[in-house]
Amino acid sequence: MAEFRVKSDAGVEGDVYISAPEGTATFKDGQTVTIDDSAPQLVALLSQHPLLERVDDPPAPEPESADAVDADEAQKQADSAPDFVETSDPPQGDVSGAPWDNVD
Amino acid sequence: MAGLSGKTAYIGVAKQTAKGSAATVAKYVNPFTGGSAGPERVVDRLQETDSNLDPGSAYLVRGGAAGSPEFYVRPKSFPAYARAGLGVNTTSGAGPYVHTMTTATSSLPYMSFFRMLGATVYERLEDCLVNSISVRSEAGQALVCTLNFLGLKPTRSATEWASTPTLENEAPWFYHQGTVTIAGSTVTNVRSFEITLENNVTQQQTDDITLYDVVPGTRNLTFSFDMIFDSSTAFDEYKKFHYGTTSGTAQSTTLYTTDVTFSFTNGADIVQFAIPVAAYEEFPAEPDAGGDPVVSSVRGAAIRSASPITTWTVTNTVANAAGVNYG
Repeated sequence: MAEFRVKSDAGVEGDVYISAPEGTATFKDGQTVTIDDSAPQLVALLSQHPLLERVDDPPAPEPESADAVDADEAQKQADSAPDFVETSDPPQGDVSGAPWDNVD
Repeated sequence: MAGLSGKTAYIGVAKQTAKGSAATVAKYVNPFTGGSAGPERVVDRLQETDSNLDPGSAYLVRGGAAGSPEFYVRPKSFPAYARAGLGVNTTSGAGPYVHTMTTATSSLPYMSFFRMLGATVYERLEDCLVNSISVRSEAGQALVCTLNFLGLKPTRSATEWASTPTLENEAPWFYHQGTVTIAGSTVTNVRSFEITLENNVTQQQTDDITLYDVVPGTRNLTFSFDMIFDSSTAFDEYKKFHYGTTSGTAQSTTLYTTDVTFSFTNGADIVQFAIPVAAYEEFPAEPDAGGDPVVSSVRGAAIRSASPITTWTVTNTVANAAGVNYG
């Protein structure tokens, strides 16, 4: 859950209506709008919107821990895991933003 | 039958609710000042050896739709095109209304574009994404928008699309109505500008002549302007670009960034193009053997920051409750 409202110093009158491919949101006078966790891209969009401010505490990023998984348990999981066939062209990002095609 | 006049033509725009759901009618239609739009039909020839010198048989590669219309930047319709290119629109106010367009985080809205030619050709170009949108002007001229879009397919109508609005006839913005701001200060020696947002859209084809999808790639915002080189404003920016500060004498080892805003006001109608963090790529100052005044043709690009890379704002009289006009 993320809560947003229009900044008090944004100089905005009336309702604020936001429309984006990620979703829509309407901010009535001074009201706070809650965005569900099921719309993370809309949360990301509203978080950097110049007219809005986030009023809840955004969750802190989870720290990475090298020993988060017990070594014995990890070995047990590895032993019981099925063998996967690795494709020669696994899904991967592209820094140029080109759409992904799996030629295999 | 009489020939058709090329002067009778329009480009229209409307936002779709989703891919595959073409808009039934344009929200805004504008006269062309240049460019065009229409169906795509790619044809190629088979290439193989044989005993015949004639080229191989022709075949159809793919269909599609595309356009690069140019039109004047007018207050009522421009938010529809800008929103299509940037992705996000925020409308606020109770009249006049302020439409703030910012870049979307990951995707763009599917659009329908409508083209009429000679009151005879009526086509709707469906499932389109804006590949690039550019606005330019210069001293004494109106602001012109060039849109480039790519879509999946056209649909033809034998008659005018029902409920097509009339051509927008509001006055466009002119360059003399402008204010240029660099590093928070107004400068008065910029005589032309251009700002371009590229979405690098790719058309995808699979097992059909009709395309599968259009997908945006890496976004890039560039700008350019011609600045009369004077001993204050232009020379200061020149020094900051090369030497870091206005008093620097050694070449700077860091990239100079600043903010750049182009704003145009015609009564209550305002359009503004803001780049919160911009980096110059070229800031030349060249001699001229003919004695012409020195003019720097500056080029730069927006830099990623905590804010959207660019924000375009239009103030007009059009409400947009629940996205009724601009989506």
